[in-house]
Amino acid sequence: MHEYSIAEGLVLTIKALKDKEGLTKVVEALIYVGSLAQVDREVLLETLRILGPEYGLEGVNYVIKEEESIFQCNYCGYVWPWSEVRMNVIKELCGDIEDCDNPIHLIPDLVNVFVKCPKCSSQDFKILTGYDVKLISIKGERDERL
Amino acid sequence: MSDFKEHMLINRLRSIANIVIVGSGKGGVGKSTLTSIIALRLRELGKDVGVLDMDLHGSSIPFILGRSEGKVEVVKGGFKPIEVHGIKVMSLRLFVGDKPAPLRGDRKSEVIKYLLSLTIWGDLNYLLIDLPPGMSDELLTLTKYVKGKHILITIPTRTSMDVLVKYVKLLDNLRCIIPAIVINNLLNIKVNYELISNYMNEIASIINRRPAYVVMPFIDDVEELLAKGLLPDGVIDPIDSIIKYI
Repeated sequence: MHEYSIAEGLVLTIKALKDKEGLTKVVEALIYVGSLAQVDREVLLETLRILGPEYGLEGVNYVIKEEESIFQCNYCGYVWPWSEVRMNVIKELCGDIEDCDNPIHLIPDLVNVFVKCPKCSSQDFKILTGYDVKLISIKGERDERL
Repeated sequence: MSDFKEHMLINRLRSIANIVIVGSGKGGVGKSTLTSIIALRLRELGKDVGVLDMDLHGSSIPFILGRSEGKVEVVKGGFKPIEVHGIKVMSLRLFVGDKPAPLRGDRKSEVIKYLLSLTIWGDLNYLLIDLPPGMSDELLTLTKYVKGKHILITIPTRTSMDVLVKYVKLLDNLRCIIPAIVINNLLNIKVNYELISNYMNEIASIINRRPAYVVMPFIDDVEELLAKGLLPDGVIDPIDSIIKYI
């Protein structure tokens, strides 16, 4: 369900960039997805393809670049990936439901509320890579006669 | 890289006629209580009202309005606020419950952007935003994206009013509008009107205009009443004179 909101935000952003750059058509949009956001890639792609035409974005090739989220503890310096703690955290937040709308999925910045450093248990850590969902770039066509 | 939340945020806030931001540089002066009182009064007057609790570390609006439980509901397009006494309420408390939220600066700014961009308010006459104490991330992120009217609150003491003057200077630099100031006598002390007048003169010299101000009386059972969605008698007149300016 949350993928719909993300897709809507991305489409609005692509449309705004298209207008700003004076493009007649967007042919490709490169999207960055950190693993912490727990985005269902196929659902996101499908929703982008459905929503795009409503905003004048027909035939866009959406390319998703995924990256593992990696954290570093501000107390002890330990570095760990999301995959190291993911199963336990999701179990705690969702119980037996596999992919629930858990708070970290909805707002990845809340990771510090629900995750502790595996080494020293501090909740004060930073996200080194794999943060949030962002639009990296778009490629498009211009009407050269203009 | 472009943040998908920024365009969404602008889109979402278009359906709101008036945005009112309740703040004060200092903590414990009654911001959340005032926000709740204004919201209840506007609702009583038949307005569609939402409250965004932006106090990420001490989310209290749902609690003040009598709802200590509740989880965010995810619907197509975003987060659905809970409804308390006819008021739509969004708060970080709906995501984290009673867990502490140890968020550093950037994280706080992003959480605020998520709440602003993904909360589905629908058409509102008024959105009230309850700020936390301080003059950093929450205030700076909010004022970057949201142009609302700032209602300030203080208590009638020198220490609190000194901080208020600093807060006014910052808001003035950020080109924010300050239509009114509430002096909350929550300590139930003898109000020194000369002191208030002197500070109002100082504030007037900063913003080149004298903001309206009201003194809110001490009310013993305010918490119990607000939790039931009731307004204490003593607040109606002062609040109505504030509402005129928003």
